[in-house]
Amino acid sequence: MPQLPDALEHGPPETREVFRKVAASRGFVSNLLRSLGHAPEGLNRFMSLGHYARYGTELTEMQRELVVCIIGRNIAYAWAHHAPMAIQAGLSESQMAELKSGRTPSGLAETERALCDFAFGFSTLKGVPAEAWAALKRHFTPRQCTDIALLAAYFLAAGSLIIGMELETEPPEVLAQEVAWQAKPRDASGQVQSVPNKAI
Amino acid sequence: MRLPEADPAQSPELEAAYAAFRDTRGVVSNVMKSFGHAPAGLSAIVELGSYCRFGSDLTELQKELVILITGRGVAYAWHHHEPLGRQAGLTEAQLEALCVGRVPEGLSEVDTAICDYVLAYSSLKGVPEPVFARLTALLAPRQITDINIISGYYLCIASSVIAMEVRPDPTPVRDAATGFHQNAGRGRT
Repeated sequence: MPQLPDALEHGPPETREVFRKVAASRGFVSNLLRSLGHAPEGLNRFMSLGHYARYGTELTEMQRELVVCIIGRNIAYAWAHHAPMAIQAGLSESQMAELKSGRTPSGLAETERALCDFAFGFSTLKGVPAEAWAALKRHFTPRQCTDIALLAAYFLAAGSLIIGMELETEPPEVLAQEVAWQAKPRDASGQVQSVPNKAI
Repeated sequence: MRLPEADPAQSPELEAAYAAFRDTRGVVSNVMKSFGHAPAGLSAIVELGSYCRFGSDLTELQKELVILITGRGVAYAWHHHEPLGRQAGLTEAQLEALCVGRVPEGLSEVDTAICDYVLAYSSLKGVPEPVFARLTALLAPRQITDINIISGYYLCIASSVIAMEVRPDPTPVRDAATGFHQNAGRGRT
Protein backbone atom coordinates (compact mmCIF):
# COMPACT_ATOMS: atom_id res chain seq x y z
CA MET A 1 0.00 0.00 0.00
CA PRO A 2 1.39 3.46 -0.87
CA GLN A 3 2.32 5.03 2.43
CA LEU A 4 4.47 7.93 3.52
CA PRO A 5 6.11 8.19 6.95
CA ASP A 6 3.94 9.75 9.67
CA ALA A 7 4.05 13.49 9.01
CA LEU A 8 3.78 14.54 12.66
CA GLU A 9 6.78 12.43 13.55
CA HIS A 10 8.88 12.89 10.42
CA GLY A 11 7.49 16.03 8.78
CA PRO A 12 8.29 19.71 9.34
CA PRO A 13 7.29 21.43 12.61
CA GLU A 14 4.63 23.50 10.81
CA THR A 15 2.58 20.34 10.26
CA ARG A 16 1.36 20.29 13.87
CA GLU A 17 -0.05 23.82 13.63
CA VAL A 18 -1.84 23.07 10.35
CA PHE A 19 -3.29 19.88 11.84
CA ARG A 20 -4.71 22.07 14.62
CA LYS A 21 -6.39 24.24 11.98
CA VAL A 22 -7.77 21.13 10.29
CA ALA A 23 -9.19 19.90 13.61
CA ALA A 24 -10.77 23.33 14.21
CA SER A 25 -12.53 23.06 10.83
CA ARG A 26 -13.48 19.38 10.72
CA GLY A 27 -13.35 18.27 14.38
CA PHE A 28 -10.49 15.85 13.73
CA VAL A 29 -7.72 15.17 11.20
CA SER A 30 -8.95 12.61 8.70
CA ASN A 31 -6.61 10.15 7.01
CA LEU A 32 -7.30 12.11 3.82
CA LEU A 33 -5.93 15.40 5.14
CA ARG A 34 -3.30 13.68 7.28
CA SER A 35 -1.85 12.23 4.07
CA LEU A 36 -0.88 15.77 2.99
CA GLY A 37 1.00 16.51 6.23
CA HIS A 38 4.45 16.56 4.66
CA ALA A 39 3.50 19.72 2.73
CA PRO A 40 1.87 21.80 5.48
CA GLU A 41 1.24 24.93 3.43
CA GLY A 42 -0.23 22.86 0.61
CA LEU A 43 -2.40 21.04 3.15
CA ASN A 44 -3.47 24.38 4.64
CA ARG A 45 -4.72 25.61 1.28
CA PHE A 46 -6.29 22.30 0.24
CA MET A 47 -8.06 22.19 3.60
CA SER A 48 -9.28 25.78 3.16
CA LEU A 49 -10.87 24.94 -0.18
CA GLY A 50 -12.54 21.97 1.50
CA HIS A 51 -13.74 24.22 4.34
CA TYR A 52 -15.45 26.42 1.76
CA ALA A 53 -16.98 23.37 0.09
CA ARG A 54 -18.32 22.11 3.42
CA TYR A 55 -19.36 25.30 5.15
CA GLY A 56 -19.21 28.22 2.74
CA THR A 57 -21.58 27.41 -0.09
CA GLU A 58 -25.17 28.54 -0.58
CA LEU A 59 -26.46 24.97 -0.64
CA THR A 60 -28.46 23.06 1.94
CA GLU A 61 -26.91 20.17 3.87
CA MET A 62 -28.87 17.71 1.77
CA GLN A 63 -27.90 19.33 -1.52
CA ARG A 64 -24.25 19.32 -0.53
CA GLU A 65 -24.25 15.70 0.55
CA LEU A 66 -26.06 14.65 -2.62
CA VAL A 67 -23.24 16.12 -4.70
CA VAL A 68 -20.50 14.62 -2.50
CA CYS A 69 -22.08 11.16 -2.44
CA ILE A 70 -22.63 11.15 -6.21
CA ILE A 71 -19.00 12.06 -6.84
CA GLY A 72 -17.73 9.58 -4.24
CA ARG A 73 -20.23 6.78 -4.78
CA ASN A 74 -17.61 4.27 -5.96
CA ILE A 75 -14.97 5.19 -3.38
CA ALA A 76 -15.42 3.23 -0.15
CA TYR A 77 -13.64 5.87 1.98
CA ALA A 78 -15.81 8.71 0.67
CA TRP A 79 -18.99 6.68 1.05
CA ALA A 80 -18.14 5.68 4.63
CA HIS A 81 -17.67 9.35 5.55
CA HIS A 82 -20.52 10.96 3.64
CA ALA A 83 -23.38 8.47 3.43
CA PRO A 84 -24.11 8.93 7.17
CA MET A 85 -24.07 12.71 6.71
CA ALA A 86 -26.49 12.41 3.80
CA ILE A 87 -28.83 10.33 5.95
CA GLN A 88 -28.48 12.87 8.74
CA ALA A 89 -29.47 15.52 6.16
CA GLY A 90 -32.70 13.69 5.41
CA LEU A 91 -32.06 11.04 2.75
CA SER A 92 -33.44 7.54 3.28
CA GLU A 93 -31.53 4.26 3.04
CA SER A 94 -33.36 3.37 -0.17
CA GLN A 95 -32.53 6.75 -1.70
CA MET A 96 -28.88 6.19 -0.80
CA ALA A 97 -28.99 2.76 -2.46
CA GLU A 98 -30.35 4.33 -5.65
CA LEU A 99 -27.71 7.00 -5.55
CA LYS A 100 -24.93 4.45 -5.05
CA SER A 101 -26.12 2.51 -8.06
CA GLY A 102 -25.81 5.64 -10.20
CA ARG A 103 -29.45 6.76 -10.32
CA THR A 104 -31.09 9.97 -9.18
CA PRO A 105 -33.08 8.88 -6.11
CA SER A 106 -36.86 8.75 -6.36
CA GLY A 107 -38.91 10.93 -4.06
CA LEU A 108 -36.70 13.99 -4.23
CA ALA A 109 -38.02 17.47 -4.96
CA GLU A 110 -37.56 18.77 -8.51
CA THR A 111 -34.73 21.05 -7.34
CA GLU A 112 -32.70 18.21 -5.84
CA ARG A 113 -33.41 16.01 -8.86
CA ALA A 114 -31.91 18.68 -11.12
CA LEU A 115 -28.88 18.86 -8.85
CA CYS A 116 -28.39 15.07 -8.95
CA ASP A 117 -28.71 14.91 -12.74
CA PHE A 118 -26.06 17.61 -13.02
CA ALA A 119 -23.70 15.92 -10.56
CA PHE A 120 -23.99 12.57 -12.33
CA GLY A 121 -23.14 14.34 -15.59
CA PHE A 122 -20.23 16.13 -13.92
CA SER A 123 -18.83 12.85 -12.59
CA THR A 124 -18.46 11.36 -16.08
CA LEU A 125 -15.79 13.96 -16.99
CA LYS A 126 -17.38 13.98 -20.44
CA GLY A 127 -19.53 17.06 -20.12
CA VAL A 128 -22.95 17.79 -18.65
CA PRO A 129 -25.92 17.31 -21.03
CA ALA A 130 -27.63 20.53 -22.11
CA GLU A 131 -30.95 19.43 -20.55
CA ALA A 132 -29.25 18.88 -17.19
CA TRP A 133 -27.66 22.33 -17.35
CA ALA A 134 -30.99 23.93 -18.30
CA ALA A 135 -32.77 22.26 -15.39
CA LEU A 136 -30.02 23.28 -12.98
CA LYS A 137 -30.24 26.92 -14.04
CA ARG A 138 -34.03 26.88 -13.62
CA HIS A 139 -33.70 25.88 -9.97
CA PHE A 140 -30.44 27.43 -8.79
CA THR A 141 -28.81 30.86 -8.94
CA PRO A 142 -25.47 31.31 -10.76
CA ARG A 143 -23.81 31.39 -7.32
CA GLN A 144 -25.35 28.06 -6.39
CA CYS A 145 -24.50 26.51 -9.79
CA THR A 146 -20.89 27.59 -9.25
CA ASP A 147 -20.92 26.16 -5.73
CA ILE A 148 -22.19 22.84 -7.05
CA ALA A 149 -19.45 22.66 -9.69
CA LEU A 150 -16.77 23.70 -7.21
CA LEU A 151 -17.96 21.17 -4.64
CA ALA A 152 -17.97 18.35 -7.20
CA ALA A 153 -14.54 19.37 -8.45
CA TYR A 154 -13.05 19.49 -4.93
CA PHE A 155 -14.36 16.05 -4.07
CA LEU A 156 -12.99 14.63 -7.32
CA ALA A 157 -9.59 15.92 -6.23
CA ALA A 158 -10.09 14.37 -2.81
CA GLY A 159 -11.14 11.13 -4.49
CA SER A 160 -7.96 11.04 -6.54
CA LEU A 161 -5.96 11.30 -3.33
CA ILE A 162 -7.97 8.55 -1.63
CA ILE A 163 -7.49 6.19 -4.58
CA GLY A 164 -3.88 7.07 -5.30
CA MET A 165 -2.74 6.73 -1.69
CA GLU A 166 -5.11 3.84 -0.86
CA LEU A 167 -6.27 5.66 2.26
CA GLU A 168 -7.80 3.56 5.01
CA THR A 169 -11.19 4.45 6.39
CA GLU A 170 -11.19 5.52 10.03
CA PRO A 171 -12.89 3.37 12.72
CA PRO A 172 -16.70 3.68 13.18
CA GLU A 173 -16.38 5.75 16.37
CA VAL A 174 -14.34 8.38 14.51
CA LEU A 175 -16.87 8.48 11.67
CA ALA A 176 -19.66 8.91 14.24
CA GLN A 177 -17.84 11.85 15.78
CA GLU A 178 -17.52 13.43 12.34
CA VAL A 179 -21.27 13.13 11.72
CA ALA A 180 -21.97 14.76 15.09
CA TRP A 181 -19.45 17.52 14.35
CA GLN A 182 -21.13 18.25 11.03
CA ALA A 183 -24.40 19.01 12.85
CA LYS A 184 -22.89 21.55 15.26
CA PRO A 185 -23.89 25.22 14.97
CA ARG A 186 -21.27 27.44 13.32
CA ASP A 187 -20.40 31.09 12.95
CA ALA A 188 -20.49 32.94 9.63
CA SER A 189 -17.04 31.61 8.68
CA GLY A 190 -18.15 28.03 9.23
CA GLN A 191 -16.15 27.55 12.42
CA VAL A 192 -17.49 25.72 15.44
CA GLN A 193 -16.84 27.85 18.50
CA SER A 194 -15.49 25.16 20.82
CA VAL A 195 -12.53 23.35 19.31
CA PRO A 196 -11.86 19.94 20.88
CA ASN A 197 -8.66 19.46 22.83
CA LYS A 198 -8.22 16.03 21.42
CA ALA A 199 -4.99 14.62 20.03
CA ILE A 200 -4.22 15.52 16.46
CA MET B 1 -19.27 29.05 -20.77
CA ARG B 2 -22.55 27.81 -19.32
CA LEU B 3 -23.08 30.65 -16.86
CA PRO B 4 -23.11 34.40 -17.57
CA GLU B 5 -19.84 36.10 -16.67
CA ALA B 6 -19.83 37.63 -13.18
CA ASP B 7 -19.15 41.37 -13.07
CA PRO B 8 -16.35 42.33 -10.65
CA ALA B 9 -17.63 45.93 -10.68
CA GLN B 10 -20.69 44.65 -8.81
CA SER B 11 -18.75 42.76 -6.14
CA PRO B 12 -15.74 44.07 -4.18
CA GLU B 13 -15.09 40.53 -2.98
CA LEU B 14 -14.86 39.29 -6.57
CA GLU B 15 -12.65 42.21 -7.60
CA ALA B 16 -10.30 41.33 -4.72
CA ALA B 17 -10.19 37.69 -5.80
CA TYR B 18 -9.44 38.70 -9.40
CA ALA B 19 -6.72 41.07 -8.19
CA ALA B 20 -5.08 38.29 -6.18
CA PHE B 21 -5.10 36.04 -9.21
CA ARG B 22 -3.80 38.77 -11.50
CA ASP B 23 -0.97 39.40 -9.03
CA THR B 24 0.31 35.84 -9.35
CA ARG B 25 -0.59 35.06 -12.98
CA GLY B 26 -0.66 38.39 -14.82
CA VAL B 27 -4.15 37.86 -16.28
CA VAL B 28 -7.54 36.58 -15.12
CA SER B 29 -8.11 33.44 -17.16
CA ASN B 30 -11.47 32.15 -18.32
CA VAL B 31 -11.34 29.23 -15.89
CA MET B 32 -11.02 31.59 -12.93
CA LYS B 33 -13.84 33.73 -14.33
CA SER B 34 -15.98 30.59 -14.39
CA PHE B 35 -15.90 30.58 -10.57
CA GLY B 36 -16.71 34.30 -10.38
CA HIS B 37 -20.21 33.92 -8.97
CA ALA B 38 -18.72 32.38 -5.79
CA PRO B 39 -15.93 34.83 -4.86
CA ALA B 40 -14.97 33.15 -1.57
CA GLY B 41 -14.74 29.80 -3.32
CA LEU B 42 -12.72 31.41 -6.09
CA SER B 43 -10.32 32.89 -3.51
CA ALA B 44 -9.76 29.43 -2.02
CA ILE B 45 -9.08 28.06 -5.52
CA VAL B 46 -6.64 30.91 -6.23
CA GLU B 47 -4.76 30.27 -2.97
CA LEU B 48 -4.38 26.55 -3.68
CA GLY B 49 -3.42 27.21 -7.30
CA SER B 50 -0.74 29.69 -6.22
CA TYR B 51 0.76 27.04 -3.97
CA CYS B 52 0.79 24.55 -6.84
CA ARG B 53 2.45 27.01 -9.17
CA PHE B 54 4.92 28.67 -6.84
CA GLY B 55 5.05 26.96 -3.45
CA SER B 56 5.91 23.33 -4.09
CA ASP B 57 9.27 21.64 -3.75
CA LEU B 58 9.33 20.53 -7.40
CA THR B 59 11.22 21.91 -10.38
CA GLU B 60 9.41 23.81 -13.13
CA LEU B 61 9.79 20.79 -15.38
CA GLN B 62 8.42 18.40 -12.76
CA LYS B 63 5.40 20.63 -12.10
CA GLU B 64 4.57 20.88 -15.78
CA LEU B 65 4.93 17.12 -16.22
CA VAL B 66 2.35 16.61 -13.46
CA ILE B 67 -0.01 19.21 -14.91
CA LEU B 68 0.29 18.09 -18.54
CA ILE B 69 -0.30 14.45 -17.66
CA THR B 70 -3.28 15.25 -15.42
CA GLY B 71 -4.75 17.67 -17.96
CA ARG B 72 -4.07 15.72 -21.15
CA GLY B 73 -7.23 15.38 -23.18
CA VAL B 74 -8.57 18.67 -21.85
CA ALA B 75 -8.03 21.30 -24.55
CA TYR B 76 -8.07 24.18 -22.08
CA ALA B 77 -5.33 22.66 -19.92
CA TRP B 78 -3.19 21.76 -22.88
CA HIS B 79 -3.62 25.20 -24.50
CA HIS B 80 -2.29 26.86 -21.33
CA HIS B 81 0.37 24.39 -20.21
CA GLU B 82 1.94 23.11 -23.42
CA PRO B 83 3.88 26.42 -23.77
CA LEU B 84 4.88 26.26 -20.10
CA GLY B 85 6.11 22.69 -20.61
CA ARG B 86 8.13 23.82 -23.60
CA GLN B 87 9.46 26.75 -21.58
CA ALA B 88 10.50 24.29 -18.85
CA GLY B 89 12.57 22.28 -21.34
CA LEU B 90 10.30 19.69 -22.95
CA THR B 91 10.83 18.97 -26.65
CA GLU B 92 8.05 18.66 -29.23
CA ALA B 93 8.48 14.88 -29.26
CA GLN B 94 8.23 14.73 -25.47
CA LEU B 95 5.08 16.88 -25.50
CA GLU B 96 3.53 14.61 -28.13
CA ALA B 97 4.25 11.58 -25.96
CA LEU B 98 2.63 13.23 -22.93
CA CYS B 99 -0.39 14.23 -25.00
CA VAL B 100 -1.15 10.58 -25.82
CA GLY B 101 -0.44 9.33 -22.31
CA ARG B 102 3.05 7.91 -22.76
CA VAL B 103 6.15 8.60 -20.69
CA PRO B 104 8.47 10.68 -22.88
CA GLU B 105 11.91 9.36 -23.78
CA GLY B 106 14.99 11.27 -22.71
CA LEU B 107 13.86 12.33 -19.25
CA SER B 108 15.97 11.80 -16.14
CA GLU B 109 15.28 8.79 -13.92
CA VAL B 110 13.41 10.87 -11.35
CA ASP B 111 11.28 12.68 -13.93
CA THR B 112 10.47 9.37 -15.59
CA ALA B 113 9.36 8.01 -12.21
CA ILE B 114 7.14 11.08 -11.74
CA CYS B 115 5.50 10.51 -15.13
CA ASP B 116 4.84 6.83 -14.38
CA TYR B 117 3.31 7.80 -11.04
CA VAL B 118 1.08 10.60 -12.33
CA LEU B 119 -0.16 8.51 -15.25
CA ALA B 120 -1.33 5.93 -12.70
CA TYR B 121 -2.51 8.48 -10.11
CA SER B 122 -4.61 10.46 -12.58
CA SER B 123 -6.23 7.31 -13.98
CA LEU B 124 -8.20 7.08 -10.71
CA LYS B 125 -7.59 3.33 -10.69
CA GLY B 126 -4.78 3.11 -8.15
CA VAL B 127 -1.00 3.25 -8.27
CA PRO B 128 0.92 -0.04 -8.74
CA GLU B 129 3.23 -0.80 -5.82
CA PRO B 130 6.45 -0.83 -7.91
CA VAL B 131 5.61 2.61 -9.31
CA PHE B 132 5.13 4.04 -5.82
CA ALA B 133 8.24 2.27 -4.49
CA ARG B 134 10.36 3.79 -7.25
CA LEU B 135 8.99 7.24 -6.51
CA THR B 136 9.73 6.98 -2.78
CA ALA B 137 13.28 5.89 -3.57
CA LEU B 138 13.87 9.04 -5.60
CA LEU B 139 11.82 11.79 -3.95
CA ALA B 140 11.20 13.13 -0.45
CA PRO B 141 7.75 12.71 1.17
CA ARG B 142 7.24 16.47 0.78
CA GLN B 143 7.76 16.22 -2.99
CA ILE B 144 5.43 13.23 -3.36
CA THR B 145 2.80 15.11 -1.38
CA ASP B 146 3.28 18.12 -3.65
CA ILE B 147 2.72 15.90 -6.69
CA ASN B 148 -0.54 14.62 -5.16
CA ILE B 149 -1.71 18.15 -4.39
CA ILE B 150 -0.86 19.47 -7.86
CA SER B 151 -2.43 16.56 -9.69
CA GLY B 152 -5.54 16.80 -7.49
CA TYR B 153 -5.82 20.54 -8.02
CA TYR B 154 -5.56 20.22 -11.79
CA LEU B 155 -8.11 17.40 -11.80
CA CYS B 156 -10.37 19.77 -9.86
CA ILE B 157 -9.83 22.51 -12.44
CA ALA B 158 -10.08 20.20 -15.47
CA SER B 159 -13.34 18.64 -14.31
CA SER B 160 -14.85 22.06 -13.82
CA VAL B 161 -13.60 23.24 -17.23
CA ILE B 162 -15.35 20.25 -18.82
CA ALA B 163 -18.63 20.70 -16.96
CA MET B 164 -18.75 24.50 -17.28
CA GLU B 165 -17.62 24.34 -20.92
CA VAL B 166 -14.93 26.95 -20.34
CA ARG B 167 -13.38 28.15 -23.59
CA PRO B 168 -9.59 28.41 -23.88
CA ASP B 169 -8.37 31.98 -23.51
CA PRO B 170 -7.36 33.83 -26.70
CA THR B 171 -3.73 33.13 -27.63
CA PRO B 172 -2.51 36.66 -26.72
CA VAL B 173 -3.99 36.25 -23.22
CA ARG B 174 -2.42 32.80 -22.90
CA ASP B 175 0.93 34.14 -24.10
CA ALA B 176 0.77 37.01 -21.62
CA ALA B 177 0.23 34.49 -18.81
CA THR B 178 3.15 32.36 -20.07
CA GLY B 179 5.44 35.38 -20.22
CA PHE B 180 4.36 36.53 -16.78
CA HIS B 181 5.11 33.11 -15.35
CA GLN B 182 8.61 33.20 -16.78
CA ASN B 183 9.45 36.73 -15.79
CA ALA B 184 7.54 37.78 -12.74
CA GLY B 185 5.40 35.06 -11.22
CA ARG B 186 7.97 32.96 -9.43
CA GLY B 187 8.39 33.31 -5.73
CA ARG B 188 4.81 34.45 -5.29
CA THR B 189 2.62 32.27 -3.15
